[in-house]
Parts: sequence; C-alpha cells; structure tokens
Amino acid sequence: MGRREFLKKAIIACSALCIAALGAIGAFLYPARTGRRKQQFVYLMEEEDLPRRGVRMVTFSMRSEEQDVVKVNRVFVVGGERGITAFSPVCTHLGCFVNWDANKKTFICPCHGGKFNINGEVIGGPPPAPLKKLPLHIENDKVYVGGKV
Amino acid sequence: MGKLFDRFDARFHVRRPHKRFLQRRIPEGLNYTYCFGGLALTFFIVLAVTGLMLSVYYIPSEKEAYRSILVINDEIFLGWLVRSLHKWAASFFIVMIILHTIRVFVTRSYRPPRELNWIVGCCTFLVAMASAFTGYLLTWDQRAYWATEVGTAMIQTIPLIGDHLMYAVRGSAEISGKTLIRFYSIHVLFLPLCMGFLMWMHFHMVKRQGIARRL
Repeated sequence: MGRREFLKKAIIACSALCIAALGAIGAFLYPARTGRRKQQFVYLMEEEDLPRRGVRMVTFSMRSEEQDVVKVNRVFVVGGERGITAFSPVCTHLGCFVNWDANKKTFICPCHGGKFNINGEVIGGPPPAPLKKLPLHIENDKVYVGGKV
Repeated sequence: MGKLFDRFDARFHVRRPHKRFLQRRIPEGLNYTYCFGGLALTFFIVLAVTGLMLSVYYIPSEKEAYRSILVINDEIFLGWLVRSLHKWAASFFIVMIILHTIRVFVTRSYRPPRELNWIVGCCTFLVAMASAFTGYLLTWDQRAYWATEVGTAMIQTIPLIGDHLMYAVRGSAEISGKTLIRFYSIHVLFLPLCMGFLMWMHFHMVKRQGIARRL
C-alpha cells in the first residue's frame, strides 16, 4: 500500500471513530434510568370526608426513598353521578396545574386556558387528552390515592 | 503606538497581519442601524464577565440554588448589581440580535455571497435563545420551575422521539435537581462554547467579505 492510499484509509478510519465517539458521548449524556417509578398508595382522607357532589382539592405528600425527597402533590376528588373519581391536576397540554372554577364548573389551566368539565373531559383550549384519573383505594374507612414516585 | 507595544511587535509581528482587521474601509452611506451587531457583541461581553462573577457564588443544587441567589442579592458586595447587569444584558442581547437581523433583512445583506454568514447568524440567535431558556431555570423559584415545566413539555410533543428527548433534556422524568445541574452545565459551559465558536465564524466572514453596500 502506498503512502497516499494508507493516509486515505487512515482518515476514513479516524472519521468512523469520531462518529462512534459522538454516539458514545450521546449515550453518556442521556440520563441513566433509575428503575421504574413504583406506584404507591398514600393516605388521602377519611371516607366520610369524600365529597358526595362537587369537587375537593386535597394535598398530600409522598416520599421517595430512592431519591430521598418528599414530594407534595395534589389531587382533585370529584363526587357525582359516576361515583367518586380522583383526577390528577396536571394539564395534559404542557403540564401546568389546573384550578377548579366552582362557578363555571370547569377545570381551567392558568397557562394556556385549557378547559375540562367535571368528568375531566376536554371542553376547550389546547389540551389533547382528558385529565388523568388516579386510582383510589378505600380500606377501613380511609381513602388512599395511588401515585408514582 | 506606544513603546511597550513596539517592543512586543518587534518580537511577534502582530501589527501587520491585524492591520487589515483594525483598519478597514467601510462603504459609504452607513448609518447607526449598522451598530446593532456590535451592540449585541458588547452585551455578550457584559454577559460573559458578569456570568463568570456570578458562577463563583451560585450553587446549582436543589436545596441551595434559591438561597444562593438571595445571598448574591443581599449579602455579596455589589451582588445585586452584577446579577441585574446579567439579567438586563441578557434581555438586551436578544433585542439587539433581533434588531441586527431586521437590519440585515431590510438591507438584503443576506444575499450571496453572504448567505452562509446569515445561517451562522441564525444559529447564534438559537444559541442565545437556548442560553436565555436555560438561564431562566437557575433562579429555581416558582416562575422558573413552571416556565421550564411548560418549555420542556413542548419537546414531548415531537412525534416518536419526544419522550426520550424530554427525558434527556430534563435528566429525569420530572423537573428535579438533575435538571438544574444539567441546565447549569449547558448554560455556563456548552452554550458559551458554541456561542464563542459561532461568533468567531461570524466575525471572520464579515472580515473576509466586508459589509454589504447599501442598496
């Protein structure tokens, strides 16, 4: 192999190595998955406090042992003809917390004006999906809500 | 020039190669709208200097970030001034880039042979916007948190790779201390490096090609 030929091949090999290195850098920068977040049930309220009709916002805190943080969260507990439902307050558009407007009977997102009715269905604004339902669990007159930490 | 510089020049011969850069002919009929690019550079220098100063006291940790901002504002000598300068220079930097872009657009200076410089300029604007976005989170208050929540959630709407991309940007499923350190690193290392390189290209192309004549 001549010198010219050798250099040409060396350059191609080095370029391939650089591209591979870029991939490795990308993999390095991609954050490690620290296992799936576990669903855990947290005490929310007494069963007798559940709203028969209407909406109640309840705040609760969850502790993640792995990350050593306590997360304060909130949930909307809705009582109506369809029984008791718990809605996540996270707007399905871009993740802001929605507020319940009792006069308009609507969940309204303060960020971009997304609107949901009392059943969590979209009635206006940009949200692409209804509010997420959270699992409720009642045991010994106590209500627990499921969330992922 | 001074004697000191003459001694320096006698050893390194810097005067001649830089003469073309420092003593350039400028086409006639220029006005003050041609200053916006230079003003943007000035604000960038202010940002770099104040940013270096802030980085000494700022702590990019979930528990310390907001507190360190209060310390900078209230306890460090002239800390409030340095932080305000950084904040306002950032805003004016973006404004000046936009005005500069409008000037280039109106005078049609983007046309060949300067089209590559226009592209590099656009990249500079994107890097400036990314710097503004990542810098916004660093105060770690409610406004910063929710702005970043919404801003990063937009990435998720990209088809197929959106979820992974958002995860990579946030460093975790939700905005957390990992996001903060990630944004800090991007804000003070990655983006300034990119910006420096882009500016270097931008100015060298201007030097090579000269300023476009007014039409």
